[in-house]
Amino acid sequence: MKENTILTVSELTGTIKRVLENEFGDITVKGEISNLINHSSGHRYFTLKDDGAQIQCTLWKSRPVNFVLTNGMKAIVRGALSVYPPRGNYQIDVTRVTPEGQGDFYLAFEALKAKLSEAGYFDHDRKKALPEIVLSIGIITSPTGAVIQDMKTTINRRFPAATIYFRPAKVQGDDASADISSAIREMQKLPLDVIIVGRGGGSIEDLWPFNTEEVAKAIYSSKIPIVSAVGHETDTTIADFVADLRAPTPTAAAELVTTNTLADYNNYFSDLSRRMMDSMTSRIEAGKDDIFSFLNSYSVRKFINKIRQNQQFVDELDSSLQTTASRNIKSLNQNLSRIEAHLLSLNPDNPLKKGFAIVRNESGAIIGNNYQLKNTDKIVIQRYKQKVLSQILDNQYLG
Amino acid sequence: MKSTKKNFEEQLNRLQEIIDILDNSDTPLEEMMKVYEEGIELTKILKDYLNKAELKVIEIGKGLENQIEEPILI
Repeated sequence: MKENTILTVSELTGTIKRVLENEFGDITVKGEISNLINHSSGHRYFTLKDDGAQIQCTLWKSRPVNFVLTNGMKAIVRGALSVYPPRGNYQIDVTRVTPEGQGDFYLAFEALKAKLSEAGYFDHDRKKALPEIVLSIGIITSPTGAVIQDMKTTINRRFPAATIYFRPAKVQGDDASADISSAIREMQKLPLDVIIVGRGGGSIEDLWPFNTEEVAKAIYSSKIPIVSAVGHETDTTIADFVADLRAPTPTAAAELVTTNTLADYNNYFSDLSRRMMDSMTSRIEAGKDDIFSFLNSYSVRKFINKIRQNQQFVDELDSSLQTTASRNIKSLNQNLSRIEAHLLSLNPDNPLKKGFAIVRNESGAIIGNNYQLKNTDKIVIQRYKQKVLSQILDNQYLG
Repeated sequence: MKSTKKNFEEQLNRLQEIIDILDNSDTPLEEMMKVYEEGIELTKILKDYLNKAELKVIEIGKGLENQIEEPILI
């Protein structure tokens, strides 16, 4: 530039802009965040500083960060150096911010936790309970690694009648948060009883997608109960706080959602069958008189057969349980033998042996007490080992 | 079409109903015998369904969730 050339401010600034922007291009800078402004437009402005210098930074709304920025946090900022002519300053147009160290991740974690807690994301009264019957289980996790395999094995061992809807997802790296949260939203359309969201253990950076506002929001908005299962027992993530239930590990989550195992169901069915048979037994005990008139009928014989068949069914249940049920079956058998003996003792032949008789009409039907026999009526008297056709000569009402 | 879960729940509820009918001493004997048979049959069906079922794993591709059809019970 020539010494005596007079430039306008705009011309000078334009030249500075070109030089700076071309010279620096994309840069990565570390420093401490201060003077943070979360503008209502969604854009964020802050100063990145160290002991000797500071630089303005802008973070546009369209560039979401995976954690809450706070003053005092040491961060690594990536972006492009740019000049803003109206104010004559230079700044970093930020594309990505990450906490610089463990302590800063912790700071970011605490900041988001405080924000979401304030917004009611962790409130206990909005947590959904796991349904009593869980048949369909959604799982969102990595397709590679032991986690999905362990969960399948656990569910298969405890409740093989389940159906798993598995949505493979990225569980670490920059776009993991977005993938996990869209997986949660997609699963809302499926007939699921519960969703497990999780991954295996890893560093705090690895687990970070589960500490983002994006995933927290997706979990918060889910209509289906969500169980979080991130890392090991000692890892706690924001997802764990928002989820309806927190499992210490993915395998523990698989156990948690199969509260009722196949053995539990079999026990339940045994119990129900037993109760049904008990009801019938006690009803028979209570209704000896009713039974008496039933005894010769086809339906009663069929029923006795039914009870015998049911005994076989209960035996089958027993073998599928292979547990303490055998003790109960034994008492069932005793019950059955008792009912059977009782039914046999109620055989109408027994009273006949003692000299009682049954009065029937000519077509063989029993004449009930509500029918008044008249003179000249023909009746068949059934005695023990003898049938007699008779005619009424005289009758007397004794009522 | 009823969902697997609804079907399963309804049948479990019916079983509970049957238990109540059987426990009620006013139920006529003939009705008792009828619902008793129904109850035992239902228990068998449910038990068979659960014990014969094998774990189903349906993998969902991204954005393909609409293609999934639900397996139907019984």
